[in-house]
Amino acid sequence: MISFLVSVIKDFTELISDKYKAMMMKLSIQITGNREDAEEAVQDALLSAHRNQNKITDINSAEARNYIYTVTKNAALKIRMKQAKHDADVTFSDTEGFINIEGQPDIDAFKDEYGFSEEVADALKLLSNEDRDLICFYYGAGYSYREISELMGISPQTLRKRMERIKAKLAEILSKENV
Amino acid sequence: MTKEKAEAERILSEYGRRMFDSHARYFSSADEISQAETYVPVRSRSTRRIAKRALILCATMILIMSLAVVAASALGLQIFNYKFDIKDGFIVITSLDEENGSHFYRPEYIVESYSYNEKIALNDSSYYYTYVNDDNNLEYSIEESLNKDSIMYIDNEGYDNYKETYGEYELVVYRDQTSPRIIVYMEKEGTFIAINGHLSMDQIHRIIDSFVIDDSI
Repeated sequence: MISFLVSVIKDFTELISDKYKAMMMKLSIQITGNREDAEEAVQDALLSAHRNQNKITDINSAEARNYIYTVTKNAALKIRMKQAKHDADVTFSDTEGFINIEGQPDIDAFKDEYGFSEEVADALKLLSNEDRDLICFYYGAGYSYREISELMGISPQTLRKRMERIKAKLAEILSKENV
Repeated sequence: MTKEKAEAERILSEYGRRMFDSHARYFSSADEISQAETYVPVRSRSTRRIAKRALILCATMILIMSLAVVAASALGLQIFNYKFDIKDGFIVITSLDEENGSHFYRPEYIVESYSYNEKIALNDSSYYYTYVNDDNNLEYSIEESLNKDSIMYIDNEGYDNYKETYGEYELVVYRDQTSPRIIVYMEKEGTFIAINGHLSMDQIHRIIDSFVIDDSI
C-alpha cells in the first residue's frame, strides 16, 4: 500500500517535473540568482503542487500553469528572502523584485492600455506578493475564497478582508482623483 | 457600492486576468521546448553589490527585444544560423549549428570607462562575462554558450532588429527603441555569443575583433 502510494506521488510530481521543470528552474534562477537555490525552490514547489494535486485536474490547463508558476515563484522568493537576511551586501527591495520577475505583466503597459493614473499604477506596484496571488487566484483563475484559502493557507475571512482593504485603498486613490 | 469602489474592482479584475494569462503563457513554452537544454544564467555565490545590479543581470537573462517587421511561419523564422520561434510575447532563439563550440572567448578590448567585473559560470557549457562603469552604474555583458542546443528567451517588445555582416561574422542586432541598449548575437567557431549593453556598434566591433580564447576555462 505504501509503495503504491509512493508510486502515485512520484508519478504526479514526475508528470509536472517532466513538463515544467525547465521553466520552473528558469523562473527560480531568475529570482534566486543561482542554480543550487533554484533547485531547492523547484523541489519545494513540486511538493506544494503534490499537496494540492486535487486542484490540478489537467496539467496542461491554464489554471495548472498559473498555479505552478505561483508556487514556483513563491518558493524561490522565500529562499531569496532568506538569502537577503544572510547576505549583508544585498539590498533586496521587495517591491522591485516582484515587478521584474519573469512572467509578470507590465503594470506601466497595463496603465497605458487601461487608462488609469500613475498613482493607481504605483499602488499596484506596491502590492505584496500575497496580495498579488490573491488577486490572480480570485479574478484571474476564478477561485472562491474557500478554494484560495486551501491554496494559500489563509482563512477565507482573512482573504476577504484583505481583498476589501486592497479595493478600499484603490477606491481612495480614485476618489481623490475625482475631486 | 460607490462608483470608485466599482472602478477599483474593475481594475483589479483586469489586473488579475492579466497576471493569470501572463503566468499561463510563461509556462506554455514548455510544450515546445521540453527537449532542448535550457540556457539559463546562474550566478555563482559571490558578493552581490546592490539589487539594481541583480535586476540588470535578470534583464540580460531575458534579453528584451522586438522584431520590427517579421513574417514568421508556424515552424519558425531562420535568420543566418539561428532559428527564431516567435511566441506570444516573446521569442526563442536556437542555434542551428551542427557542432558544439570548443572555446570560450574573452575580449581583450574593454570599453572606455568600464572595468572587468567578473566571470560567472552559468552551467558546464555557458559563461557570462560582465564589465561595469562605476560612475553611472551601467554594465555590459557577454554571454557565451558552447552547446549547440542552447536556447535564449527574449521578450519581443521595444526593440528594432536588423542583420549585419561584419568580416566573417553574421550579426543579428537588436536596438532598444527607448534607450541606448543594444544586443548583438553571433557565433564564433560554434560558440553562441550575445553582447548586451549600452554600446555603439563601433565598440561592439572592437570587442569582436579582440576576442581571444579564454585559456583559464
